[in-house]
Amino acid sequence: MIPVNVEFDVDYNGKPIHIKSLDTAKGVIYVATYPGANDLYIHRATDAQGDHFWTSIPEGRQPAAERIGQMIEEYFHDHEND
Amino acid sequence: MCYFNGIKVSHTEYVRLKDLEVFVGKNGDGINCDLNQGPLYNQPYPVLKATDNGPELKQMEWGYIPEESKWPFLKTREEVAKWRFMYTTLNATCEGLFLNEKGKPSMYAGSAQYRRCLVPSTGYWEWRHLKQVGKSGKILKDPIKIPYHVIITDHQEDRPFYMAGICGTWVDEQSGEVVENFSIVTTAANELCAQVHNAKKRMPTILNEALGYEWMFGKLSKDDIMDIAKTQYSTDEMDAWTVSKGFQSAFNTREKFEYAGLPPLGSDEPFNPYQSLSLF
Repeated sequence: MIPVNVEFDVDYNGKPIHIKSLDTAKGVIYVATYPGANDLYIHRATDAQGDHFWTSIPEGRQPAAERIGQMIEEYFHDHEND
Repeated sequence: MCYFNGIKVSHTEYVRLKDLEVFVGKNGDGINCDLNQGPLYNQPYPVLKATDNGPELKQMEWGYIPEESKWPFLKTREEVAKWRFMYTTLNATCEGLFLNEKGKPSMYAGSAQYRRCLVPSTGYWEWRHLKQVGKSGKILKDPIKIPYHVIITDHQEDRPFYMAGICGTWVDEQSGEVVENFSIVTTAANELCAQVHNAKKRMPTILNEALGYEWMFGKLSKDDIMDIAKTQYSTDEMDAWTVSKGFQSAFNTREKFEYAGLPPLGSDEPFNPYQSLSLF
């Protein structure tokens, strides 16, 4: 279960990436902000086999979406009892 | 079955993800896409295409695919993948838009005449080839390739510039998948780009707003098209810096990275990472 309405930083090579969730009618989108790069909008979608995967919205930044999505999951895992 | 970001999803999920794209398009900054990723086939890129309602941003596949009814008569994704091992169509040289190297009609000719588009970008990457010095102090057999990020100084972050492109539509006969695809037009490099892309001395055809409009909407003759396609953007309005070798997987793919022992642009000196520093 991934929480919604959250805002936090994750560490990326010693620099913080700011993550903010947006709760929309069609699902939760996470906005990742990193100095010098365009904001990355990512979402946890479901593939044809029913498994979850992270994707950029819109299409085009899949490797970055997967990496940041993994970091978000790790953050929630580490803070699930907070 | 549909694909989103290269991953197979159900039709329902695809529609939902496209709805989320609309939400981001309305609420996000710009078009939220790292416009300048490497040549990953099957990954869509936003391209400006002329329509009856004016320019429209369309997601297209980078890498031109000739129409299925024309040479090399590609019918399926598998055939396209095999063909792409032999032919690279990410870029189309301006000299070869209408005639190929053998003087015969080019596979790009129809698109160059009737289906021109613009590819927005905030910068691109190119590799500089250099001789390198080994630990023993001798020049190594294989050159080293150092990646550079090249920009238009007035067009960064949320202000893209436009590269000339040609586009097409290809249909997979087996699955019925309609693939809109494009290629970026290249021209002879200006002084800066020739120093960076010193192996081939080429650069993308970068167009200002007036030429970009002409390229997409103008009723142009072949000569007009060739003239615009050969446009060489001015070195004075461009800049380039080194980025790390693993920039493709970095979150900030444009981040500057200094290489110790790297000679300045324009120098023919070899790259010497083992250069000993002396205080005297």
